[in-house]
Amino acid sequence: MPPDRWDAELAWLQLHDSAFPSGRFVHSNGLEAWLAAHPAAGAEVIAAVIEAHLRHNVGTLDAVCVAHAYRAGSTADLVRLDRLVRAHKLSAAARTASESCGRQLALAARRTLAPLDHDEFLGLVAAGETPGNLAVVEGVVHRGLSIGLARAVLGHLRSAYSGMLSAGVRLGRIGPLETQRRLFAGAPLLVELAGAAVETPIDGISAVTPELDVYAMRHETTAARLFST
Amino acid sequence: MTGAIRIGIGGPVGSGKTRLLERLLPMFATAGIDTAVITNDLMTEEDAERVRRSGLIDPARVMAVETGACPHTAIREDPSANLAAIDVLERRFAGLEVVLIESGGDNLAATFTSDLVDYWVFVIDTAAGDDIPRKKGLGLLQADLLVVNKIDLAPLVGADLDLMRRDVAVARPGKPTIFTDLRSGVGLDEAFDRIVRDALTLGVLT
Repeated sequence: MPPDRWDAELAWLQLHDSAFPSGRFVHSNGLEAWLAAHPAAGAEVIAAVIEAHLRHNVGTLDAVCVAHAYRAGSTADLVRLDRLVRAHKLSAAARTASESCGRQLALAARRTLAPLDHDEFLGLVAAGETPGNLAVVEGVVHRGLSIGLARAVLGHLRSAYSGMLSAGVRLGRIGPLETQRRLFAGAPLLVELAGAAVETPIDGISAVTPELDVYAMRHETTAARLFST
Repeated sequence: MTGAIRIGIGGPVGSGKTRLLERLLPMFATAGIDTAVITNDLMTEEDAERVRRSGLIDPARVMAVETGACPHTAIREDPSANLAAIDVLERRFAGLEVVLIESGGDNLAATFTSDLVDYWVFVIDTAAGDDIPRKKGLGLLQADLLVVNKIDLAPLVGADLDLMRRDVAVARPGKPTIFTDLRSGVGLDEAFDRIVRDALTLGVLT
């Protein structure tokens, strides 16, 4: 690897380090409510739910839109894509998770990652003039840091996977070692989903995880909760 | 950091954070300081609802933030959710001067990041043990102001206030500590004066 590429590799690691302050840790994407309704579910079942979310929601909607944002030809194209993503986020919880994390990533990136200081689209997100969905912001941020397209999409999927598993750990339902085992064993799934996402046309996006969506909507009106979504 | 001054209130569960908030709100109002509140409840919106129902502040000025089971993370490593809430409040109330941010009840190591607050208060109480200052938790060591609350309970639980004063002086040389009974109001004026004076030194309040 040429020495200058290390910069991009390190930037990729930084973006997907759980220490990067983009607010992902307050979102369980319906998992908290689902776990409350399934007190007997063990690690195997919980992992299957999370993997279904990846396979039928993150992989087929967000990951595809990361790729399209990365390849967008103009800021106007990004704004249109951003609105399209919002239209596909059916529940308020899904919109909240996507837009709050995207907005926080945009704000943090502008403050801390020099090549993105004056990015026009991130500026619109910061000003509240476009929703700032995480997938679109991530595409822009990865391209701005010269991180490759495939890595951008793979990183998005990997962060979504680890974030959901981490929620399971903090809710006391999966062990941290089991989580790491799953993350390692899940590599082929992430690679498969990333490969498909990069090839999917924009009119092929979809998000179909009705059970988790219902629990995410129930979570919106739950009085006792630890996560925003 | 621009906009309203941000004042954090942290400390263990039950130490009196929400009580301090409730006591300070009328004082900020009387002083003509435009104020809003963010609560970081651990599990529910209980604290936010308590403040909203108190009649002490317009309920629209109170926001609750969930912390993903990590109250310390939300005020330290990743304050994103709180920063977003501040953003909402500042857009909603153009003349906002102060945002009081109450942390979720946490342990003695909890600290507020300077990316989130300009000034912060750590609240402990005598009933949790008079050895807390000696343990030198980061919250107690680093807070701009330490409030030792429930001094009225000290004799009932065998807490030695003189010992606590000595240990606090050792743990926080040069930093202010105020001993309070927030239910009756003992020490409250001193706490308010201190917070406002320190906020003035930040050049935000006039």
